[in-house]
Amino acid sequence: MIFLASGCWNRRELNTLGVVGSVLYDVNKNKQIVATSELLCSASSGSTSGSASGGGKGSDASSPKRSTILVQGIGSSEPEALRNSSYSFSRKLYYPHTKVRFFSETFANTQLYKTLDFFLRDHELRQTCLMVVVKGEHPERIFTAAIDFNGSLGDYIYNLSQSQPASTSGSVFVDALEFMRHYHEDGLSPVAGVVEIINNPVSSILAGQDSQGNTAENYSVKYAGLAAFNENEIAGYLDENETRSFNMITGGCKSAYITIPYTAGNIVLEVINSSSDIKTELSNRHSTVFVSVSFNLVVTQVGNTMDISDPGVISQIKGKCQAMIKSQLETVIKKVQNEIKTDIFGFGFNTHIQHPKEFAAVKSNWDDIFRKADVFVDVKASISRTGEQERTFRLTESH
Amino acid sequence: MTPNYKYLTGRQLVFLFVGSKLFLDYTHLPLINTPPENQDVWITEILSIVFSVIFVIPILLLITNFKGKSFSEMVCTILGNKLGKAVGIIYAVFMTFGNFICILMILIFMNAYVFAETPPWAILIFTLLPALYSSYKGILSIGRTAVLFAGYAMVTILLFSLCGYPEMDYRLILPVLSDSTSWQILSGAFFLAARYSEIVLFMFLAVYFSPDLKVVKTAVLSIILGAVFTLLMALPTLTVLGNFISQHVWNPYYLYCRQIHIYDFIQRADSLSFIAWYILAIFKLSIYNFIAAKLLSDVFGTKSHKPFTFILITVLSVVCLLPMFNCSTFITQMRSYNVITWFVFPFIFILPLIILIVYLIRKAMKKLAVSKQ
Repeated sequence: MIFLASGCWNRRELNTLGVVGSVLYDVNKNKQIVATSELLCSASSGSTSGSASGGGKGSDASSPKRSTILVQGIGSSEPEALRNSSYSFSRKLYYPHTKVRFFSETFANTQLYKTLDFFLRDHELRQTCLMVVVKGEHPERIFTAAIDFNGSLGDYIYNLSQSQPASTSGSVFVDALEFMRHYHEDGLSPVAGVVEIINNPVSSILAGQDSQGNTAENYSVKYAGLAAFNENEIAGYLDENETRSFNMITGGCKSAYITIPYTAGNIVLEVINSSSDIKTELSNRHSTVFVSVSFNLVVTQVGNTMDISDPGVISQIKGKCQAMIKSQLETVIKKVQNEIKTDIFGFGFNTHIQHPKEFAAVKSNWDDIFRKADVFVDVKASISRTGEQERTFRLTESH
Repeated sequence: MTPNYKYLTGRQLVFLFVGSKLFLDYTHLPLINTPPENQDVWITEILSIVFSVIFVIPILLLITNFKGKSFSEMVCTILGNKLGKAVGIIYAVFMTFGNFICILMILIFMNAYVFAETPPWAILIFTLLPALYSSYKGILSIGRTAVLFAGYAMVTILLFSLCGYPEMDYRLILPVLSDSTSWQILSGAFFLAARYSEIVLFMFLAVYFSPDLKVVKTAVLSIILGAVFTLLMALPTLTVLGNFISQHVWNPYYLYCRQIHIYDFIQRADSLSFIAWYILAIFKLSIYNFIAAKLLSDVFGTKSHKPFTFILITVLSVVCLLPMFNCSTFITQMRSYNVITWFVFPFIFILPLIILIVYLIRKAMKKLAVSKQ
């Protein structure tokens, strides 16, 4: 009882709190930090949508499904910007339930690395929230984008992190702890998720209102690809297809569809049980990397007349799939080596594990060695299942 | 079977030792910032068992030669009355100093992680009152609660180790022994064994041991169990947070516990870990306060240790609130391995060793005198 009583001093009543679901960090023209917090509305708040601003402009988050309001604060530092929200908000902002931290490109390029200390130091900030870069101008529009069945943008991105990896591997979901860990890890550069604000494809279909009277938002969020960071800024982006290859190399590919083009009709395979193995060699400041990716495939669609009950045909499809994936992986590795120029695959991290003595001598300029490294990719695929059909649907057309 | 209220059993002693040791690990996991200060630190914990066993030898030799005698009786017999009392006072100051460091760490952890706005004096009242009551009641009461309190902490450690499994990346503790020298590993093991003062508990509590207690076996078991549970905290922390972040935060294990979530139904489980930490804090303060009070009681020849428990806690409350001590920088300096070790080591090994040597010399001289006669 005594133990519980000691907490009363720091008690927080729900009706005095503004529980933050997500935060967008941006930099304005005066080079001040702008923090826009998305607050979750409790039943006692008596409000379901709206906006407020502290030392800055507020943006409207009106949506019939949303149960959030926005508050904005501007300051010369991130903690100050967050606190300055209280100039026009009557409750104490409460951050432990924040699910996502969004960063504008400007912020990610100029401020993010300075802010990591604050994220780790403040007692209310948690390291479980996702780190996401908002691509393009006017990042604040993200709060007006469609968020399907979710009450807040934070919930929307969090739910994506639960559902998307099981459907496609075209994105990464990196939490603050992982980002910070990779930031300081030798031979491994951090990556973050990327959202893009795109025109809502269904807004034109609904044209104002649907049969239930819901208004379609003008914008939609596309969560795909990744942002690669070198020490202090964004080094480059990978799109969703390249990110899928990245995930295959790093062992983060949980599920993906691979479409193998054939003139008579494509064959689609689903990746299950993917794994990767990275072996490295380091001699005379030159690195050689052997990436071995293996995955199990399930036939999902046969659009042509090939007889997949024939082991020879399966072997042919497998060979074509392996060659295609190998080419994709090599392209991505080349892109990262030549354009992004920082080791997001962790080849250096693996070199440290496999050749610690040699790596110690080169770790300070690992990125230079990474750019010149010879990377050999080996893809091993196996097709173990062919779905519910024993024979190809269009097989009779070939006779 | 009638419960044993007269003596400390072997099981109680093991839980007293482990619970007291785990408090420090819960608070700042000293292992992480001990040489070699890299992914190999967990190996130093294993090696520190050997050093701890070496350090406890003089104490074990002393208590087996003075079975049934209190520490004060033992040192007065060996060193004479005046010197024996002086040693008693020195150890009382040492135990109080241990509590002083613990209280400061409690204040900083509470303010930094949990109750940022709660004033230190309020934290002190709620922490020191139960510790005072417990030490007032005596070591046999503390011993009986040890199984429950330390047991709960050990269960939470096991639970968090299991729940954190999905978050762990074992590559973070690789490569093994490649980035460290043998000297770093050895010195790390020494610093680690030398900074925990728990082995002196055997010396002070020997008078309460049940007659059938196997002291050597209990001591070794306590040391091994303490190290195992420290490893169960350190390995998950290192494999989730990585070496760099673990070294840079005030309490790496608590940060690790905050990362634990299983799907959507086990969230914010760090409160369980926090409760374990707080219970251990009170537990450790009680043990140390009791021992310091008992030593002073023996030195001054009072009937009971009870008045001294009040005096010591009151003095500590005042001193710990002084601004020069109640600040992060002071305790960060004090708890670093190259400072605290040199405060603790003389009391857990050098002084008992000197007492043992004096005892052996006197014993040999006595034997010689008898043989001459």
